Amino acid sequence: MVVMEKFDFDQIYASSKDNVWKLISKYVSSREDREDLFQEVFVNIHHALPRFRGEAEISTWVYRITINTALNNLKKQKRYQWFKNLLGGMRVVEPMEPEIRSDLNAFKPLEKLNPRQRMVLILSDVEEMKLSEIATVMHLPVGTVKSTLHRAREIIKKEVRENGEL
Amino acid sequence: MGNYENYLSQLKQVKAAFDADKMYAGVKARLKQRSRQNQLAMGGLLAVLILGFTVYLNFPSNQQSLAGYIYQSGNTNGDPIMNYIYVD
Repeated sequence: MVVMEKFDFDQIYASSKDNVWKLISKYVSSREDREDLFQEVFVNIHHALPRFRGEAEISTWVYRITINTALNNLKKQKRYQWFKNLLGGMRVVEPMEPEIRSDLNAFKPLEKLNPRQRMVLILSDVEEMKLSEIATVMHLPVGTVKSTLHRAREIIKKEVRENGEL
Repeated sequence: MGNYENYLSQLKQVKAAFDADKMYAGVKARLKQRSRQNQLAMGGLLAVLILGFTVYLNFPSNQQSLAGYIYQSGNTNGDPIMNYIYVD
């Protein structure tokens, strides 16, 4: 109960919503997926809050939940990709705004990465976090982060090279 | 490397506007829905427990098995196996 009073959900939402959204919008491409993931992150935060003892910084804790939720979400999405494609094929595709189309182009190379590679690359090269910080929030050894990042960069470089200007 | 840097800058520029109030309402709705689902699951579990306990209490204490119970009550519902148990 003391924990609930000390770490109020509404306060956490207010202070971390922008950072969570910023990270999510680099991680998934469609607006619906972003909104779904964003809400799922805060549902998970709400469930985990009674167990939070304040041992880590609240921002680190929120980041950790965001990353775990995002990784699980993408794994689930990949599992049902064939079903989504099937539904996508039946749906009438509306013409997109040029800005949205350009955003989607930016996500195409990321689709070649597995969920962990994608997250490490975004945290390192887009969010500009240190390797040690990434290791902390992702619960991974620094060496694993380094090798994952190296592999992810190689894949993206190859993709960009092969597809020219995106 | 140049292409990679260009790509990263494109990724950094991805638009990130969102409606915080709408999202907050969505989170609250999900929490409410999960809580209702949990209540239903708990209700279902409780109902099964009560039913199990009622059957246990009403089961004749001098019978050690269901076959024995059927034998004594004669309730075979025409099932040949149950008839066998009954006859036996």
